[in-house]
Amino acid sequence: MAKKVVIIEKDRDILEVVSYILIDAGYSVSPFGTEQVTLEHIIREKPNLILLDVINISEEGTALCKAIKNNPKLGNIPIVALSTHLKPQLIKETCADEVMKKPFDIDELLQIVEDHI
Amino acid sequence: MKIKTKLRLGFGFLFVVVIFFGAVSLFYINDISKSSKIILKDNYESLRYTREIRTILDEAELPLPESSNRAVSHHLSLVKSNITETGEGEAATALEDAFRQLTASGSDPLAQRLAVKKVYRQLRIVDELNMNAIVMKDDTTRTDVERAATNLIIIASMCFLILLSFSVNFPGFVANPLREFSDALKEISRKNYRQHLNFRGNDEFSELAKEFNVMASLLNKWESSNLAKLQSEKLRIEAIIGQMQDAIIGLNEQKEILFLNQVAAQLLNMNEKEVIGTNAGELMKSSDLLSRILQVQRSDKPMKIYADGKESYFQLERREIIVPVYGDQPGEAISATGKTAGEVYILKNITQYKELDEAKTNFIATVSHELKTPISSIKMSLKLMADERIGSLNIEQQELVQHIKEDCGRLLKITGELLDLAQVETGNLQLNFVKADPRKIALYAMDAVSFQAEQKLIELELVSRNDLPAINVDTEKTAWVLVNFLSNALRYSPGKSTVVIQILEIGDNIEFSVRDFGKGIDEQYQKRLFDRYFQVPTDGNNKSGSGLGLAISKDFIEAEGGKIWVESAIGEGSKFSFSLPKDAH
Repeated sequence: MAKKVVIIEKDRDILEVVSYILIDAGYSVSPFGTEQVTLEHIIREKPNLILLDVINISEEGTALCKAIKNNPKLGNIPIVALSTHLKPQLIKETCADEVMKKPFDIDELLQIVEDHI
Repeated sequence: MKIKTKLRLGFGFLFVVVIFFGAVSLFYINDISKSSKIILKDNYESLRYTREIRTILDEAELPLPESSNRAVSHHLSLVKSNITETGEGEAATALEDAFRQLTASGSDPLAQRLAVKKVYRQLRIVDELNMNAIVMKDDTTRTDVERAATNLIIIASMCFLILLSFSVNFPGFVANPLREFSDALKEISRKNYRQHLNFRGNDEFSELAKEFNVMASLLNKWESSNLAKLQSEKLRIEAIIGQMQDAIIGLNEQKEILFLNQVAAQLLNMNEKEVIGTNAGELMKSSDLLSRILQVQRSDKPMKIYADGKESYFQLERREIIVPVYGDQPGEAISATGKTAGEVYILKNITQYKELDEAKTNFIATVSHELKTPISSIKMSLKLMADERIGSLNIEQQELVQHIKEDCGRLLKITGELLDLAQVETGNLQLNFVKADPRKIALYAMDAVSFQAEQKLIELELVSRNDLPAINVDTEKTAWVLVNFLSNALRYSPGKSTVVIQILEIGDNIEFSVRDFGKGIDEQYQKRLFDRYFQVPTDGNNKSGSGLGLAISKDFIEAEGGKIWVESAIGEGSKFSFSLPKDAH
């Protein structure tokens, strides 16, 4: 059975492209826009990996990321943050297992997803 | 009165006393000798005459021979001429009468005996008178002597007392003002300038005292003006400290609180007036915040303090107060040494900056996101388009896609540069120092531009030793600078030329340089090359940069403690270099 990846991304284009790439690579994908996603959605999906868009490392920006990590049902699911932040290291320190700096390469994306799933 | 006159009068007085005493003594001695000697002598004479008469009468036979008669008459006349006592005259006359009777008595023995008896009686009377006189005079003389002695003793005692008191008091006359002066001068040396000397009269001391008073009052004026100046300076400084927006706490070397301004008092929730002078160690027990402040060793991180109902950030600064001490040994060169006089803790309220900083960081993050996300999307879409599985493109489409790709790359590069610059400008540049091999950095940079070089058929040549010492740098930033140099070099090099990357060890530094054989840069622009947004004006054909690359390079290299420069000549190409310090270990 295909591994399931939840993608949470504000930008619809990225969401579509990444979904396409991952589906093409044989993953099962559940895309969500950042605004509409809730923890319940994610729990229902039972993903193997979460790709999460993190814009800022402020309280607000990392709230969802932290909420996932603190949720007992989701805490052990790896989170790969997709970010344009200039100090991606800080996101890794806050909640993510791995950070991918946008813009990223398709090969890079696939490699990281494979590493963490 | 002058001191000279005083001394003269004093000695004159002594002289007078001595003269007076001498005169009195002389007078008494004179008196005594006069009354005793002269008068006593007369009485003794009378006694001698009567004794002579008696002797003649005793030795001679009656009737008296002529010679004895004459001798008695002679002595009788002497007795008569030496009458001194009352009654003596009558006795002498009676004696004469008795003697006449004796001579006239003839040869009658009875009459002769009677006459002799009479003579003897009269002689006895004369003797008695004189003897009494002698006894009496002796008494008088003795009382006189006693009296004189008593008087002299009294006068001598008086003189002694006078001289004693004089000898006791007179030196004081001269010495007392001197002592007062010396006391006053001692007070002056103790900086007590308020005292005045009050000497009446017009002698030298009063003049001196007047001068002294003038001096003292001048000193006093000077001191008080100095004091007033110091006081106003102190007040000014206190006012400055009091009105500072930062919290300031001053401790002396015994860790007692010297001063504490209002902000600090508010922050610590203490009464400014109560805590001054108390030991900080004691206060620390009751105030967690104070102990936090005083125990901070390194103060890089801002302190978060909850005060006045909100969270504030403070940057703690700790300074030791060094007071210069000047050696004041006489004959020794003035040497200034520092002596620690306590510590000052300054808590700068940086909440506002912190908030601004956060806002700015958020802003940069947002901008970064807004700019980079679409680019990422474009890039990935282009990649997908290039994928055969989606559908093949014709040659024209492929070219168009390639153009989009290039422009997208440029957009991404400039966006990155702008964001980097924004970070540098806001002081947010964070360096991640690691020990690195300079060659590896160069090879990494060369790898990054190899595609670009291949396209223009430019050969990249690395010139370096294999065993270069390591450098302690942020490899990412350093490589970024090198990539920037290289892509500039490639951009301005003619096709099929060479770009030389050289790494040299020069003294304590490692020097990286990138040399191209392009057309070179006019000298007038060389200095401004590293300025922000500067672009060489004639460079119309290759206008593709943001004008930020070299400015950012400069920031990066200088943040790492290095130097950056360019050497270039028209027609010969350019050499961009930077040097970084070698790793100390």
